[in-house]
Amino acid sequence: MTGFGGQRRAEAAPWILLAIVAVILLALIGASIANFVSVADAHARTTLSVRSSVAYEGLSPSGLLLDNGTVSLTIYLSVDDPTSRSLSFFTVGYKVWLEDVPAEDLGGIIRVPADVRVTNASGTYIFFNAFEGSIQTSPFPVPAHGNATMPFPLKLNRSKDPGRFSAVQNITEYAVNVLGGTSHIVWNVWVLVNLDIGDIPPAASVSQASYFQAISRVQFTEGVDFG
Amino acid sequence: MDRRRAPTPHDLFRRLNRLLRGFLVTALMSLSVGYVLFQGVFPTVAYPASGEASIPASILILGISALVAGFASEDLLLGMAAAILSIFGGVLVAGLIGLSPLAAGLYLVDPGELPGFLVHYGIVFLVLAFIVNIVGVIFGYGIRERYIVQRPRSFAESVAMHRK
Repeated sequence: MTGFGGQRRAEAAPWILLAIVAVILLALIGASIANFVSVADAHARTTLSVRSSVAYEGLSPSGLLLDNGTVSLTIYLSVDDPTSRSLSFFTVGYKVWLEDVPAEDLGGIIRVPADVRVTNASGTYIFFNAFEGSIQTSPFPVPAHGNATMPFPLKLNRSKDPGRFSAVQNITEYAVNVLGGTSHIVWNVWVLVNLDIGDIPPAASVSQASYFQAISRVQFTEGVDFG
Repeated sequence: MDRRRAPTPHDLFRRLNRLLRGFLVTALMSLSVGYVLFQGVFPTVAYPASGEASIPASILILGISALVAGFASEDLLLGMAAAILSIFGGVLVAGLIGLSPLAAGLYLVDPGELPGFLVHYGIVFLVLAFIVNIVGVIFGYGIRERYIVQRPRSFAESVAMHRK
C-alpha cells in the first residue's frame, strides 16, 4: 500500500501524462503550421515573368514566308522563387495572337479561326489567334531560393495547321510589303502556368476536393486574354 | 432558517481547482481534435504530410488524448463536459492553424469561410472525435478510479483514511 507520498505521486501521474501528450500535440501543430506557412509563402512570393521571341524559317529572298516555311515562337517562362519550397512546372496553357493589319486596313478578310476585335483607349484593333493550347510539361524544376527559365517553343507550319499558317503567311506578307518587315508585327502572348509545390504528396484520389489541387499548385496568368 | 453557508476559502479553492482541471482537460482534447481536424481537411500541407488523412492514426491521436483527459478528470461529468466542449475548441484550434499564414502576412484561405470550410470538409473527423472523446474519457476515468482513487470499502476504512 502506498503512503501519503505515494498517493500524491499517483495523483500527479495523470498530469504528467497530460503534459507529455500536450507537448507532443503542440509539436505536431507547430510543424503543421510551419509546413502550411511555407506553402502559403510559395503562393504569395513566387513570381513569373514572360517574354517571347519569334523567328521565321523558310523565307524567300524578299522576306516572304514560303509555303514550306515555319513560324517559331518561343515563350520564355521565368520563375523567381525566393521561398524555401522548390517548384516544378506542371502545365502551360497558352494563347498567342498577332495583329491582323491587312484585315484592319483592307477589311472583308475572313480567317479561320475568326479574328477578334480588341478595343482600347487608342482605338480598335484586329488580332488573329495563331497559337492556342494547353500541355502538361515534362518536369522542369525551380530550386528553392532560386530561379529558372523554361523555354516553351511553339511551331506553326502548313502541315500542322494549314488554316492558321495561311493567315499568318498573309499577315507577314502584308507586313513585309506594307509595313517594311515582320518586326513591325505586334504579338500578344497570354499564358496560364501551373507549378507544383515541392514535397507535397499528391492527393490520394481524384475525387478529393479541388482545393487540394489549388493548395498544392501555384498558378499564374500573364498577358491579356482576348478570348 | 437559511441553511446555506457562505463558501469558505477552502471551498473557493476547490472550485477554482476543479475549474482549472476542467480547462486543462478540455484544452488537451481541443488540441488533439484541432490537429486531427486540420490533418483531415488539409492532409497534404499538415505534418506529417500525406495524400489522404489516416483514420486509424486520427483515432489513435484522439484516443490517447481522451484517455489521458479521462485519467486526469476529477469526475466523469467534468470529463464528459470537456469531451463535448473540445469539439468546439478543436474547430477553434484548427481554424487558428488554418489562419496561421495570416500572421506572416500571407493569404491562402479566406478567414471568413474557414470555420464553415473546416466543418464542411471535416465533419467526419468531428463525429469521429466526438465518439472517441466520449469513449476515451470513460475508459480513462475508469482507469483512474481503479488505480489512483482510493475509496473506503467500509466505515472503519473510511475512518482510518480520515485519520491519516
